[in-house]
Amino acid sequence: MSAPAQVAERGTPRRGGGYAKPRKAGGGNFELISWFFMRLSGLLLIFLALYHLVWWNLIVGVAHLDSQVVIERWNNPFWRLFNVALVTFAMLHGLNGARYSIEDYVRRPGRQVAVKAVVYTLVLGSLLVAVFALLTFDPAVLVNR
Amino acid sequence: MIHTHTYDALVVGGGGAGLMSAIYLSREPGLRTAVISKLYPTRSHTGAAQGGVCAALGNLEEDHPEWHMFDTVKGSDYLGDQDSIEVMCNEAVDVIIELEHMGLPFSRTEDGKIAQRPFGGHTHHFGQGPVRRSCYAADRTGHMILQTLYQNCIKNGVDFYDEFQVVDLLLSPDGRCCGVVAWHIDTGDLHVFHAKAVNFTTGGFGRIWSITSNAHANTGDGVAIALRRGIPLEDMEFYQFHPTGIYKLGILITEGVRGEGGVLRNDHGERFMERYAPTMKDLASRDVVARAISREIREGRGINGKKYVYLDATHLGADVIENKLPDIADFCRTYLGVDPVREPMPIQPTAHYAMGGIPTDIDCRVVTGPDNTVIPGFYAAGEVACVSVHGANRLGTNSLLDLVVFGRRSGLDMARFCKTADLPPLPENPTERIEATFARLLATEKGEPAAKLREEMQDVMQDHVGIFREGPGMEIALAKVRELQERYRSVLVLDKGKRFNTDLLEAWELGNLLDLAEVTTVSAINRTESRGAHMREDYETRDDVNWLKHTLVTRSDEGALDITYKPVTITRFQPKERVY
Amino acid sequence: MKTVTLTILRFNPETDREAAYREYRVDVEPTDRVLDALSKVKWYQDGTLTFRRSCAHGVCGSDAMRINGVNRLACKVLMRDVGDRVTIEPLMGFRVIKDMVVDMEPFFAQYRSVLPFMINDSRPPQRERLQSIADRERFDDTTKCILCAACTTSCPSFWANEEFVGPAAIVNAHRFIFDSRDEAAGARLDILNDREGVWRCRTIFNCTEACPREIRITKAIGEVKKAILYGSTAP
Repeated sequence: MSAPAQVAERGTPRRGGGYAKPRKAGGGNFELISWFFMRLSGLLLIFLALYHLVWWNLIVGVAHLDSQVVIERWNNPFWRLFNVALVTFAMLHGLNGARYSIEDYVRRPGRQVAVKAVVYTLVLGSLLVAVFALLTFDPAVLVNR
Repeated sequence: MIHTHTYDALVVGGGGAGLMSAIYLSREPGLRTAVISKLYPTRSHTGAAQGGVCAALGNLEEDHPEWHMFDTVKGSDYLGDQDSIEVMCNEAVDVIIELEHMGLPFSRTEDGKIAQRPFGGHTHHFGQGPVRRSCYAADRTGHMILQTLYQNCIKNGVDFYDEFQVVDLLLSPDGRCCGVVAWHIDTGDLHVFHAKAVNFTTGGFGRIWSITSNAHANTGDGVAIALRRGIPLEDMEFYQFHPTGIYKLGILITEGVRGEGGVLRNDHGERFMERYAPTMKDLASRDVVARAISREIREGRGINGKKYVYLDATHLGADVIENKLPDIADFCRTYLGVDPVREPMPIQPTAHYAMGGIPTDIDCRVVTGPDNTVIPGFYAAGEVACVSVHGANRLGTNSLLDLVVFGRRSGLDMARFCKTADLPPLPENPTERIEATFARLLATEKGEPAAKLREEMQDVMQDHVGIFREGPGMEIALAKVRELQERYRSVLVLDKGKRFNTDLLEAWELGNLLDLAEVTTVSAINRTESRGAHMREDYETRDDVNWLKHTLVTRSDEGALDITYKPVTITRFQPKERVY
Repeated sequence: MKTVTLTILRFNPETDREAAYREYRVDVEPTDRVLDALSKVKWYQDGTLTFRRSCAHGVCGSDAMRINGVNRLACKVLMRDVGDRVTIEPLMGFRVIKDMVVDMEPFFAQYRSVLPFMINDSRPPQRERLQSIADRERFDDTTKCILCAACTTSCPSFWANEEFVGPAAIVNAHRFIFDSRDEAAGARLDILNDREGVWRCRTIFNCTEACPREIRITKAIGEVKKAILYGSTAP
């Protein structure tokens, strides 16, 4: 294992005094944004999950959760949007965490792309289905059955 | 396998003096410079210096370079060369400001200037009382200097050969210096570095004593190589024992503790320095304090009758200790389990600094003989050198100052020299000598380990060539050192490999230490007076009539040590009795 | 004086194909450093045992190694604190040259990559540049670094990916980013705003735990991340 060349050359020194200013690191701000997203989504998820838990399981109570309640809350646009937020933040937060792990531990470039493709497809696919269901499902179907 | 490199200038050693020299060389466009260091440069022992670096900035009270000069001359017990001392004290201000501009993170005063504190032997109005002159960065000033200089070397694109042990100095047939031979520790290969100028900045040799503040790496390689190449060594009898080393370990406890107000106490709780130095008390110069501590211990007033006294900083408060002396607090807690905020620190004097070394002029050019004949292209700066700014006793903080001032001067003069000089021819078979040495060390199949010989040397030097010296004791030490040199011929190196052979390295280093122990002892026996750090119980007073002169010791071709002298340069301050 | 057992992971590049543990029994005082125990083995039992050391009191950074599984300086750990059986291994993540000696070049290359030096191209004043005590305090912690590599080699992100610039380099960038006298914070933040820069840090805190100088490394990395986010080093 030797020095990664691109790292060693970033602040290339010059003979005879002085130094070369480094070239701008590539890659834009994606990592910065994803780090900030992790912070933000992590914080939001705590409140979203807590609200979900406290309201439905403690205040409304598990014993009272029947199909009627489900239908009612599905008819409430706030509940739909709340759950869209919950599932989106949870899935993306988890996906980014999985990306970190893949990039840390799946080192061969080809294999990394493949693993990422599978994980991204699964997670984003599930997310798409979930959001689609939340927004388009008609609870009347349950009543009419 | 032997590799050859060609440069204009070589710096051997990556401590304060070497890096400062390299920075100045690297500012010269077109000049090819390399630093060769046995350690990664940031491991150098400059980094262990704690208390500060003096310059008469006058940031907190009135101060002048000539007061600093007087203190240094007096501290040297009038053996320091006053032309060099004047240069050092005058350039101190500029160099410290320059270090600040290079990024050195000094501690700051309320108005944002470099903070300063009192230090041993530094006074105002030519000895009237302590002055705040030591510029510091908490208690890690040496660390900050080393890091800042290394950072600036990186900035300037200096070439480094790290973990290359320089093992020989090359002189061309016409007597000019033309390079060095270095041993790449990792591969075991020899490298010949061919150059117009070589600067030895290899540091000291505290490892010839058993209680020392010096690193394992401080084995006096540069001094010993010079001796072997027929260059004289100056004032080797003057070796400083720092008053406050951690009991048994020798780890340095900065004088800054006393600068901040810490005091020494004996078994009776008495602040005994009041008896020895009524004006400066605990801030008298180091030789005075170290002798006082040793005397207290010898007269049975060590703590519980043992070989240590207390350095008491408990009255300074947690704030001062945590903010201004954090590292020494950490050392005490780690190694002694003592919290200096609440308990006094057990200390004893520790072998610390070589005043003597390779003789140079004020431009760091190595000179030989009483008439100061220059060896063209050979330079030395820092502890390895004897320019002589420290004379018979160095003042605290003047070592870091010596490094940066004379590091700079050596770099500037080498750059000047390299512009006009041509590349001298290499001698034939430049690696012959060291190859023979290594072959001999590796060939031994039965013998004693280097560590055993080293310990015996350290013990005898500690007992007889330490703070208090007398003729018969030193004769015992000299006989022992010569016996050890004999036994060293069959020292056993167990590791016969080429790669990272530190067993061979330690054996080679021991050869250096033994040579320097011999020279130190011979010089000390020869000087029949007491001056500065050289305290003879059989000659208790200073003798300016016979001994106001520098000792030069040369190894003759037959192996004997020849002693000659050269005069002390006295310009402004005539020798006076020295009282603190 | 008591006898302890040192289990040392040995590797000699000239004779061994892979590293193997060897046991040594050595007499030590409780107040001896682990370095003293290693030295006794080297000096009196097996001269081929190889490790770096110099100052022996925790300021030069030569002797970082794994002692009972954690990164420590051998000269800053006392025998009384490690028990009667001590396992000693080289730092993880760098190529082992011999025994405890690892190849430090990649480490120093990463250090050099973050512009670890003062950059201020404006004309310096005649005297020192002024700096308030508060401004000096902001980067005090990170000036303590001795480049021993204990932090970087304790970092799982670095173990996983040696292209990660590592905590030590970030610490040394922090030292200048937050120095009021320096003018190149932006350039360093650009360098560290990279997948292999601060964003590879997963806030695991191993570095902080490993640092023999007690630098709060994870906090320093956090400050650099925030400076990138806000585009400013203002407190």
